[in-house]
Amino acid sequence: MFKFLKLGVLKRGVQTKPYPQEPVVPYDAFMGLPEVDGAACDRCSHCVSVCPVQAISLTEEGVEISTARCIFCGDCAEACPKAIKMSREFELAATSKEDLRVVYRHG
Amino acid sequence: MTVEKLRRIVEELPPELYSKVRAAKVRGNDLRLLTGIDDLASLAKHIHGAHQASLVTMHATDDRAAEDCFKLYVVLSPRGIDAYVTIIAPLEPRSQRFVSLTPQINEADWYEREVQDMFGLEAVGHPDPRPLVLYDDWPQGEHPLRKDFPLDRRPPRVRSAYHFTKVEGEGVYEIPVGPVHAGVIEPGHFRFSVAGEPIINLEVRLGYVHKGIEKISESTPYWRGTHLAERISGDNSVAHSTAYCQTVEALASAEVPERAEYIRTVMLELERIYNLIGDISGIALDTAFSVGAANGYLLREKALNLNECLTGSRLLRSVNVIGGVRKDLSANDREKTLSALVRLKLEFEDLVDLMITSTSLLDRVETTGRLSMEMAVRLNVVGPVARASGVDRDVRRDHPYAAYDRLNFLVPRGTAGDVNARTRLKMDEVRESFSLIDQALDGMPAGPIRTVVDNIPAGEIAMSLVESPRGELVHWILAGKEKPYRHKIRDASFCNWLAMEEAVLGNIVPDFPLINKSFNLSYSGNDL
Repeated sequence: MFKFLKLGVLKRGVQTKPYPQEPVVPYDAFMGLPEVDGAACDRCSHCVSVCPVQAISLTEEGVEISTARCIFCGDCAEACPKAIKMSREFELAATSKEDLRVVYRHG
Repeated sequence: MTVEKLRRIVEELPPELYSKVRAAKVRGNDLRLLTGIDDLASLAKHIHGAHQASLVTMHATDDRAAEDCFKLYVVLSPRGIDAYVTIIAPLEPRSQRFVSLTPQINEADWYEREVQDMFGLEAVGHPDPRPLVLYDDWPQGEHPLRKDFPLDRRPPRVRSAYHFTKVEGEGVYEIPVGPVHAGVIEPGHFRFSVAGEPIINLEVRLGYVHKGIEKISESTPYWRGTHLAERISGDNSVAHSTAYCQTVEALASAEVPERAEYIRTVMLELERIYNLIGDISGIALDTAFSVGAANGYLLREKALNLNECLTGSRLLRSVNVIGGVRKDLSANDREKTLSALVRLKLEFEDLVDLMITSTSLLDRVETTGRLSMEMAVRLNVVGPVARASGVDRDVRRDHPYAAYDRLNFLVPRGTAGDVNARTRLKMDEVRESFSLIDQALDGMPAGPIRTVVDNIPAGEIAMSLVESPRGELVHWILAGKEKPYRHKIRDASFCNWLAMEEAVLGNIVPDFPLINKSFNLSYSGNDL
């Protein structure tokens, strides 16, 4: 019993979070879904060429990112700081592969 | 100084071997000896014995396009100097055979079986020439690392069988375990032979997660290779990517800014801390000591949270980049790290106290899974497992990289070589890691964190050793155009799996999970 008290088990209290009833906000540095600012994008396709896993494509609508391929490395955000940043969005599960496409429209 | 010592290695060769060396040159801290394939075994054996060298890696390259032959490379690390000896032996033109080193250098065993599988070169005289990497349904004559084997080739599956070592006798039973296990762990097959409860033989069969990483790397430009290296073994991403980046930087003779070296050191130690705390908690879990396990995993979670806070990735991905690191550590990051570490240290000591005073836990771990020092040396076991058996080797001290030569740390060692010794050793290593991070954050100079690395000359060879949480790992690259021509990766686990076959002997089957956890080897890193 002494050991348990020494560990501060009573002081420590609840260590888990009531997710998903309450949202969890990751740290600022977190590298989640790449977010493209459609207005800042000038369609130079630099992000497409630096992506190591071909997750980004330019379509007529805008910039499309496949979260099925993305490895969240941050190469695109580093290559294009004015239009792309790594967001803190991590809830990316979907029930079909089609839904794993995220399209950022132009303008 | 090093050059002098390396030169002496050549000069002190016995005359009959000296005459067999066709060329010798020193590049950096690597002595390269060119010899004929028939003299490879005797030369390697001499250096291995006379300089108490350990085998760092042994592999082949397919140079048929340029020189009409395969080549074998044996890299040895002589004891006591920060240098390597690479023996290069071209096979005879169109020949696909070489004399096996294994009868003379025991630790060459798996390397040669790997060469046999991946290149189709026969190791003549190998005591156990069964396939190692290629799986049972892989057709004969298909060797993935040959240059004429296209990356997208999918050979047809064939029927065949793998023959496990048979142990026979009255009351001897076989227990097949895996490759699918109860729990979210990697796949591997364990074939136990037991007489009653004690294990009298264990054979490990791996290769179920072979992904062809070395082959993929040959078509991956350097700048993308870092991402690949991070994914060789998921929980050693900094260690692997550091080794990869250091190898490419060495190829280009590039100097990494000092601040980047310090940041790499911090990241390498953060990786060690979360891995080793996970290992220690696993020991508590496998001895059914739930309170210890729960507290341990809580600590590990805090370490992972610190990783995420600093780098945006719990497993420290995207930290390294060729030429330095991607993200600087701000003054704010430093404060956050230091305050998180103060708490972690206190709570870690509580966890240690809780575990080492639990008699039920000690009863399970003491004298369990003994690995003698002689066996550890014979099998060239690396990392914490080797040090717990008394082997005095740590790449951070013996072949310093990043900022380790500017920091003070001890290399803890055990003697007993049992689960208890391995657990205690890991506890000591965590303490050293805490101290290393403190020192690195204190001594970190200001300045740039990244330099441009380009003009990587084709045909150059470079290598880098890094002490991962599991032990030393090696990346060896023969440069091609814009990407590696041959990229040899050797994870620490590749050296340590055979040691587990030895350590379990005489132990009871229910202690196997515990022994396995105390080694905590990577399947993915081994299989590549």
